[in-house]
Amino acid sequence: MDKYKEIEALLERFFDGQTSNEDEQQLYAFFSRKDIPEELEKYKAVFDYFESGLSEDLGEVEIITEFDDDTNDRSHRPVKIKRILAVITGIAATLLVLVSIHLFNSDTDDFDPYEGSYIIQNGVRVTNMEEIRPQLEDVEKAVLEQQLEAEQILEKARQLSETGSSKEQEIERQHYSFLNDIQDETVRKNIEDNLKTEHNN
Amino acid sequence: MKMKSIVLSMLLLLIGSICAEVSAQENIEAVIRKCESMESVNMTVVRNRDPNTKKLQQTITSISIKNNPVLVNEIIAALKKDEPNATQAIDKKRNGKVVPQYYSFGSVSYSFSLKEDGNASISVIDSRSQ
Repeated sequence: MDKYKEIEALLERFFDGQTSNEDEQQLYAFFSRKDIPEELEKYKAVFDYFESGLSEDLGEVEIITEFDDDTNDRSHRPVKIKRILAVITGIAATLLVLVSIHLFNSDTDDFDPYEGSYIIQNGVRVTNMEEIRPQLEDVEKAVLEQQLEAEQILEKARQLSETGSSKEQEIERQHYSFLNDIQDETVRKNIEDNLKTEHNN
Repeated sequence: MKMKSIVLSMLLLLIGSICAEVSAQENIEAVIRKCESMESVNMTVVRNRDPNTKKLQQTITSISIKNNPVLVNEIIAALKKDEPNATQAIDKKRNGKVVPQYYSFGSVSYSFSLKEDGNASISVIDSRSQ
């Protein structure tokens, strides 16, 4: 029973990460036995896993084991491994959060509708948006005003053209109405020919 | 087989129409490219992107030419050469000389301005799908 109390004490220290290599060796040796008391049977699986499963599952553990071999400090230090894994997981999670925040911000706040704009002054190309933004806005405004002015001129020209053609149509209509009132066919033909000649000129 | 011919014809028509649009203002585009490489020319290029799609919607290029009458005449000549292909054109008479003011080639338009001192500016609004 005393022996088991010693194992229980070792177990307590093991899970607190305070065991030495010798202590752990003692635990591995104990749990590799077949006659383990019932109350300690539940820990067997843990030591079986650290003894074999962990080294098969994780490459990192292999590396640590090999390193320890070189330094004649061969041991399985599950608590240390767990801590390393926890630190690595923590770093990875932090990086993931930071990258996500960066991507989210670049998708929303960093958008600039003028992206890619530039000016060339005296042979020097300037792309610094803070510096050139006022000039970009001025140029955009001026060019769009020019465009608007041109469109207004074109619209006026179109209206004038429409008005002109409708006046011509009205004159033509009046001519033919006048011709219909002339009874003499020869006279009507002569006037019609004259009007056509005049219209073509 | 018939379907293949139809698709091929449509593709050729599409390529043809794109080429036609490109070549419609080839002379003025050539002069603009020349201006881009000249150090004596000041230029502003404004790219406008759609805030929703972030795609390029329109490119506005404004070029100022100072003390370079040869280049100014080249621009006028290029615009006049391309004028028959323009869908809309406005010319202006200045000191007895007809000068181009605004030429539109569908989704690309050019506005030209000649000042009393001989300096000039030309601006391009390009709304072609970029």
